[in-house]
Amino acid sequence: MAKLPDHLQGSPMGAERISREVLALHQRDAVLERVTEVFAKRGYAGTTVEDLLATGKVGVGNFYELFEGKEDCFLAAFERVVSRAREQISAAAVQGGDWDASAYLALSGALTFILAEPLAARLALIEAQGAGPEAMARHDAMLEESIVRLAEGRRHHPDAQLLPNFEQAAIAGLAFYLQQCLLESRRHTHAELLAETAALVLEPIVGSARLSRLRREHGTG
Amino acid sequence: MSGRRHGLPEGGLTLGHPLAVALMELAREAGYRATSVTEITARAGVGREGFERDFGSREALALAVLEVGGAELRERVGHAFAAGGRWPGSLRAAAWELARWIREHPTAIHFGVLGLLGAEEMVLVRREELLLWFARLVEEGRAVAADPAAVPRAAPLLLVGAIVGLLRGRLGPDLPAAMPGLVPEMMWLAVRPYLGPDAADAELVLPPPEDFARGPGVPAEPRPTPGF
Repeated sequence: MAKLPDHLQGSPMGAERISREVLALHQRDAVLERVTEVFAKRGYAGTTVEDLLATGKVGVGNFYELFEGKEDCFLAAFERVVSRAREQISAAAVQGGDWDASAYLALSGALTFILAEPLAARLALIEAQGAGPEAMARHDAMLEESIVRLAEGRRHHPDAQLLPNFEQAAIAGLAFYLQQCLLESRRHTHAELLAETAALVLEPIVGSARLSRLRREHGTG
Repeated sequence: MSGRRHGLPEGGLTLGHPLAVALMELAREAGYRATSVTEITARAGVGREGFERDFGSREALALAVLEVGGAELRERVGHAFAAGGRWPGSLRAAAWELARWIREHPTAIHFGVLGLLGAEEMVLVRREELLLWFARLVEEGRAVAADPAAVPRAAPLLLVGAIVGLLRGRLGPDLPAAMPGLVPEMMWLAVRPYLGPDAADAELVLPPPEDFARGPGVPAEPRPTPGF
């Protein structure tokens, strides 16, 4: 039986030392996952470093090794949420055969994320707007990314009668609507949200007939 | 606000009061959360003691500003809506009255759209109440829609958010001059879900009211802004 050369032989499982860098990354990620909830529930202003230490289950020394302070922690939590949402949205969109289907599935993927992780969504969509200028800038950049993606639809539908700023208005409207949904106590279903938002955000670009076909092909959620 | 407060005009705070102006200007320059009571009173030229007696906190001042600005907006825009005939004419009349208010209060619209983000929860709740009131005006379109059940329930909220987004993209000294171009776009967005694309397109070619037709020209393109 073939055998690995000596220099590639590792220690028995569990005995190999994990680098400090890997440990720190893992710990940072674990802390960010826990503090996302407190930022979302208490708001940025209402969250203290003590709250972060308690919720993050990390000592003060460790906290300041991982983050420069509350704002840095918030920004890191924000980036983590956006990165995970982006992954989910991209994974959904790539299954579309054309731009129309990709856009529809991307919207569906975004709504899936928001419904599955409402606190994370609240941090990114609501709390980031009140967490200082850097957080606001990153919130705006997140929406700008969606505006740019939506604007690609014009190349595929050059005959669509749209306002010059339609994508900016549509994404701003979508963000506001989703903020209201997150603030409401009423639970929304994926099907309901997808039907409502696709009609307002995608139909002006792809047309009602195409949107109906997309619903039939890819489901209503 | 009931009764006369010391140092304030009869009837309470106005949007032109130095404290209101100071709060709105400082929030625009540095953001709401970074604006302190010390900076507000210094900018306004008002003594700290008087501020503490009349308001006591930045939040109380912000709420008072929202209350007086919101009340004026609702009265003027609501009156225009009521006198504007059948929807969308009523909404269009309301939109042009909003444009007049923006032309008169550019600092206040900046405060309402962007400046007070990061404010205390009650301040944001009051802001939201005003936005939801506008949404109700938009939703009146369902009564004249050919198929009311087909209009997404999300339409009024999404449209109000879209309109705030449009305004936010043009905040600055150019906004008043941009309103003649923005109002038709706001109407296009509002009318389309209720009355369809043809009715929406028709909004873009309607002439503005006379007081806007003779006003300054509209910039050809919005200034690029990071995000929006």
